[in-house]
Amino acid sequence: MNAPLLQVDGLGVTFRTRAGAVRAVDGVSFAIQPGETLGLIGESGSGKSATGLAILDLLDPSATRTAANITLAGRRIDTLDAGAMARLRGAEIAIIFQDPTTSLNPVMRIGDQMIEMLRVHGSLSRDAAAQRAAEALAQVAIPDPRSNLAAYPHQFSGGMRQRVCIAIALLCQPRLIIADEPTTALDSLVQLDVLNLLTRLTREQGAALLLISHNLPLVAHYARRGIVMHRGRIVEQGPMATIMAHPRDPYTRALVQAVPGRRMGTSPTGGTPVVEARAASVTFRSRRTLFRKARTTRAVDGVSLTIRAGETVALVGASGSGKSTLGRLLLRLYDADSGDILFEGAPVTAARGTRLKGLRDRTQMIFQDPYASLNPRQRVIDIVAEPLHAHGDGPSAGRAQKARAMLADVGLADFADRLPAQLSGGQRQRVAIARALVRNPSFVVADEPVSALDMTIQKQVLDLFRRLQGERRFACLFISHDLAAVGALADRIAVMQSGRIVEEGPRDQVLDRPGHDYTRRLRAASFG
Amino acid sequence: MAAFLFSRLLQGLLVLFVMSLLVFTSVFAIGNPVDVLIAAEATQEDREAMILRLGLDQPLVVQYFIFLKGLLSGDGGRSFAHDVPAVSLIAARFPATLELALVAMVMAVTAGLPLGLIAAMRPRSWIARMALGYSTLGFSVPTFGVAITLILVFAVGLGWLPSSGRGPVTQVLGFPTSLATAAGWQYIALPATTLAIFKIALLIRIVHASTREVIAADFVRFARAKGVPDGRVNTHHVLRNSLIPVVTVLALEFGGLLAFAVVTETIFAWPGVGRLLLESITLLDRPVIVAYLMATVLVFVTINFIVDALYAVLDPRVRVAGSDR
Amino acid sequence: MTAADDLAPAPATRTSALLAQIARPWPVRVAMALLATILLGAALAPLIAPQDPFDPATFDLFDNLLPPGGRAASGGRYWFGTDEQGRDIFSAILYGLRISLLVAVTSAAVAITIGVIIGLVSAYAGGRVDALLMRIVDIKLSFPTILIALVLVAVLGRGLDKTIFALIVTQWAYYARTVRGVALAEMGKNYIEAARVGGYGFRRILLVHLLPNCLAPVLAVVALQVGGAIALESTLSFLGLGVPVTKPSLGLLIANGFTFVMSGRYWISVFPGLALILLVISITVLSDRVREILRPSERGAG
Repeated sequence: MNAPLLQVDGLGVTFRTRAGAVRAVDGVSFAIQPGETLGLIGESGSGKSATGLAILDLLDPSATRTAANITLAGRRIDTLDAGAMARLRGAEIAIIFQDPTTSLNPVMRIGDQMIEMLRVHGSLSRDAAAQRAAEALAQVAIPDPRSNLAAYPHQFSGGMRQRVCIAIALLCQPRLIIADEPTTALDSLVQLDVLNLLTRLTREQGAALLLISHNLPLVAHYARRGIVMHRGRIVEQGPMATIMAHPRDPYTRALVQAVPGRRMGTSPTGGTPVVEARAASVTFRSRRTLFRKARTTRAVDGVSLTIRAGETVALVGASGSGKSTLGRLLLRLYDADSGDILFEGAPVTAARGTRLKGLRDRTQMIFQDPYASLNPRQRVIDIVAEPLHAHGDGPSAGRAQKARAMLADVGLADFADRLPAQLSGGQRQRVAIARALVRNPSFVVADEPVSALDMTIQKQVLDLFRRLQGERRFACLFISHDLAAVGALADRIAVMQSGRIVEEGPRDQVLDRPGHDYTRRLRAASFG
Repeated sequence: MAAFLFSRLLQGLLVLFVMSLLVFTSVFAIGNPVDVLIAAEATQEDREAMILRLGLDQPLVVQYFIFLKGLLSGDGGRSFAHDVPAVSLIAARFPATLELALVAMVMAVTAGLPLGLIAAMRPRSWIARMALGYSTLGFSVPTFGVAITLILVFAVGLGWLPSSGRGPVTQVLGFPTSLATAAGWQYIALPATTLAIFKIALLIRIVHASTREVIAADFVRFARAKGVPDGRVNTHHVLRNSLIPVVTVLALEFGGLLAFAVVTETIFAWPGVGRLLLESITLLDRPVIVAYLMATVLVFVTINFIVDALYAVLDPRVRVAGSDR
Repeated sequence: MTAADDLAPAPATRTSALLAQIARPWPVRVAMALLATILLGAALAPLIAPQDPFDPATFDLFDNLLPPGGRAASGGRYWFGTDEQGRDIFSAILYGLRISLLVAVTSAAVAITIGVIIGLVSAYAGGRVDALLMRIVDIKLSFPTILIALVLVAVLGRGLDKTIFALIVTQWAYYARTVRGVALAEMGKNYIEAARVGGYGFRRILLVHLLPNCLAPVLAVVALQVGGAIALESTLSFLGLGVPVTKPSLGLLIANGFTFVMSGRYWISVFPGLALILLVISITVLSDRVREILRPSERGAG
């Protein structure tokens, strides 16, 4: 057995917070072999990011690191002084952070940030360093590398900035690269490209890769061996294949089971369409200033879509595809520039006043961000009861009763008097669902309702949603960027790209026999 | 960037225009303009001659243009109390205020900047605690309180420094200044310190807050992750970002110094523009007030414009960037 | 195994927990006690002050210019000394506090109301209205407050109501900008959109959802602004441009005593000055702490 490249024994990290001392990492021990890709899987609060930072001693000043031993290629690195540690960072071990928009110094040119690293770790002249930097940019497929050395970070998109960070990480040819959720902040299609690039370049350089992520299928795709962390401890270690097929630890098992499976069959639907869009378009115009012409963007371009009572239509696409806009268009939060929107058979394209009120009466929406979709100053019971109050449903005494019944239905009966700040993300989404369904709408738009939640929680919330829909039989538009996730819920799937629907059909057909190239790419990007 | 600056310039001109309208309406349209512009002791004939000369018998719009024309040609009316053109009065007193403001500013930056930085980078050191404690104190005490305390201690109590007046003035490079002599420094010591005390407190707070925010930023951690030594991280990454808002605030505060000097100049009998304003208010010397107002607006619009330009130079995100690559 | 989902924090009563947290560092506790004492003293002035400084019948010209601890002709001591008219400095301070606080709090209250309304309108209306209002606010804010106050007083003249008016004019813009910033941020959040989707009326959205969530940051700066208002009013009064002589605030008291400072009779200015400083410092310390607590600063573990 070869000597490991990195050996970590008994690593612990404690954070000093307002609530007291929090043990984020506890007794973590593992090893990485030279050139291997090791996956580190964990949900929020698992301590996975803290582990990565701790290896390089990059934690916040409020955190304390304790370790029995951290060794790199036989040399102890947890006892190095600041200068020696700085020499090691970047040259022997490099790290890539999650959010590319905050990783780069906003007032320094890209080239200068790369040259700085080269000159800190070596004695290249400025010109030679610039040359090397340009080559690195070319390697990560940044167009026009020489002239882009002079660009500032804000001139690049998120995906391109992450490529720059990858280029920086590989610049001094480190032996180990730690990638902390390197693509979580990126769009699904971009994710695939960036990850493939990262793993390819790492392999070409012969470096080892510690791939940290909450996404189990993603890690399984790229890593041979894996570690599962839960609440600061390692609960499972071994070959990824074994972890996926025969998880030993109960948490790991829950995690594996949370990977969305396909549902069977379709819901029985009533024949009449509840919502219909016919060749509808929405155009956004940016304002015209003295120095810039007005820009127009066709967010939704001639889209036709029908949703029937009781069925769930999934609307899938990358960000910028127009799916959120279409969802809001169907709710008349936007006006259509052309085409028609029909609700329960009657046109509502230009509805105002009472007609619009009628639409609002029978439709609802569930949002993506559980932290922003509830009024922080209202108690849970008031949030759920408010739609009843606002529309004057029945006697006021009965409303509180109805609200409580709804809360019980989503499993939050004891939480009625709490404020949103006292709930977890999954609980808040359940409140949002309760609020949306308390008046029994006939049409609900769910805009990425579980994307911001941990995998295990996602499953809970989706199961709840599916049950409620089965009971109440409302029509549902389920918007998501993840093609595999919608397989657990949808009857039909519509794929959207650049404002147009490029493919539509029954769930199994779209997932198993995609007709359009874009659908195929989306399918590949979801690792499911 | 040119487009950005140009639009800012236009806005500045707009402000000047609006302010001139405001001043005009308060002086000419509200109340009796004759009383405002003519001394109370003038004879009836003088009044009528004045009315004719100033065109006060003309419609309001025409009067506004006369006012505007007067402003643009540098004529701000004639002071009642001193019977000289108001503009020349202001111009004569301005160097004293400028001198005071500059000395106070230099003191503030020399003391406040390093203290604020230390407070942010070594939050547990005793210097940091003292600096932050001082900043709360210096921030809360009104200027005149500081002035009186300084006078009590240094002028009355210890007798080291004079408590009023300005030192002998000499011409240095065509600019009248009192700093060329040791006596001049003695006279400026207390008033400048008074102004500086508040500014130092402000500077410590701003530098501390801005630096602390930047230190916690991801890109600083990323720079350390690249292996950049701490010293260079601090200069090239932390300071480069945290000083941007500080520089702009400093520029704006300098404008504030020119105005705040009113209280200090009064207490220390410093012959500057602020004292002139106060006298004019008490003496109801309205032409001087009008001229002072317009001059102040001009100074502020200019400073604002310089600040905008500075910001564009220092922070590339502000320049309207070209197309996204 | 239960998922991390059900780990919700225990519902402590929010206000008491918040207060406990605010009062944790000892300087804050000192400041709170000081502030409470001063406010109490000012409120109870008619009951506890040995003299009424506005009523000439209560003081004795023969007791004038007594140093602190000096004996009164009628027995008893003047613990803070007397001024040139024989008025007890301690009483003068108590009554002066009332005036200072009255002016500052009134002007702040009105300024907040105006600022909040304008800020909300600006954020909700958006577009040109927003741009115009905020330009005005920006311009106004770039002028130093004292200058604006001076000019207003020059135009309007001296007096209690005019001083309050000048203070309102100098303060409203800051609140307007703060509220507008917060309102814009809140409007981008989904719960406002959820209210729209739910078909709630415009009034309901504004009052129940938007307004309560915009007030917290305003409250954080209120104390600081009130402190600034107190300082500004005292500066104006010191210059002879603020409150009238018949209702002396702390600033006016200090001005009165200024001429005596040179001859060593410091107490006429210094004691009111100390009262003023202590008042403003305790407000500043308290508001700093409140702001620090309300600022979200959690840096989570991995």
